[in-house]
Amino acid sequence: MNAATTVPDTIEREITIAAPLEVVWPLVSEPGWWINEGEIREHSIEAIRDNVWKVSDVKHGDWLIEVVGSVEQESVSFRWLAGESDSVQPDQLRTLVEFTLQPVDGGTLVRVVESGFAVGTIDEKRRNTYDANAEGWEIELAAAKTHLEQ
Amino acid sequence: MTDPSVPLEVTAVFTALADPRRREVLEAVASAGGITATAVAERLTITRQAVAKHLAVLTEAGLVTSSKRGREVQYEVTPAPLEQTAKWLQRQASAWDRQLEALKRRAERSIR
Repeated sequence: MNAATTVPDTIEREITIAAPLEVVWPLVSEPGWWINEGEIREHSIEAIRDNVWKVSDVKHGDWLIEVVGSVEQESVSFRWLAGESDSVQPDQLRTLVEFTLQPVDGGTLVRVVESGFAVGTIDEKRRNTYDANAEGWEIELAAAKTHLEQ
Repeated sequence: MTDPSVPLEVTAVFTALADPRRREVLEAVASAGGITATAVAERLTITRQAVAKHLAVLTEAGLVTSSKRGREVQYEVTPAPLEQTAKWLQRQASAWDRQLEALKRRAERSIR
């Protein structure tokens, strides 16, 4: 048995959607569209201040979401802010979520990258939101093996 | 929906691993299965003092434990915090998969 524990510094997922950019963009660029129970539903969205929106979901309540950066039909990034629905401890981190769209054969490729799991990395990431040089890392240890051999 | 905030144990692991040198120290400890700070320093050609600092941070995050063997202090990797972190990442990635599927259904429905 040699199961490895892999810990990358970002979560990256993607999907190809059989719809053009101009259909996908309004959905992806809406703050908090992912707050639901498996189906995208309507939210009431209220501007709080520059780039900060209050998103209200019927089930999950109110959330503050900041639009960190946005390039029409290309990419948009969001960050959760401490909001009214939060029961979390004040020192818990909020991540940066970036969506990028790319036209492909038969539709649109949507990629999501979530980052900022370590103290101090979010501000660094925000400075480099569209900086391709921001390097990631991945650590892989044969943890199960070590554990079983003890 | 996805988890809006990172569990504190997960943050501790990521913060400890954010330094590339510290990841090298952890990997050296992991591959040895019981090693002294001096031996890690020799392997990575960095000072013993620097290794000791990295090991202290890794110990604080629960990633390594130390034990005395005679006059030597041996370090070993504790797999549990890394495994928990990997599991949280997997759950969060699955939550994003479900949301991307929902986005796909919503977008494709609207053009039919």
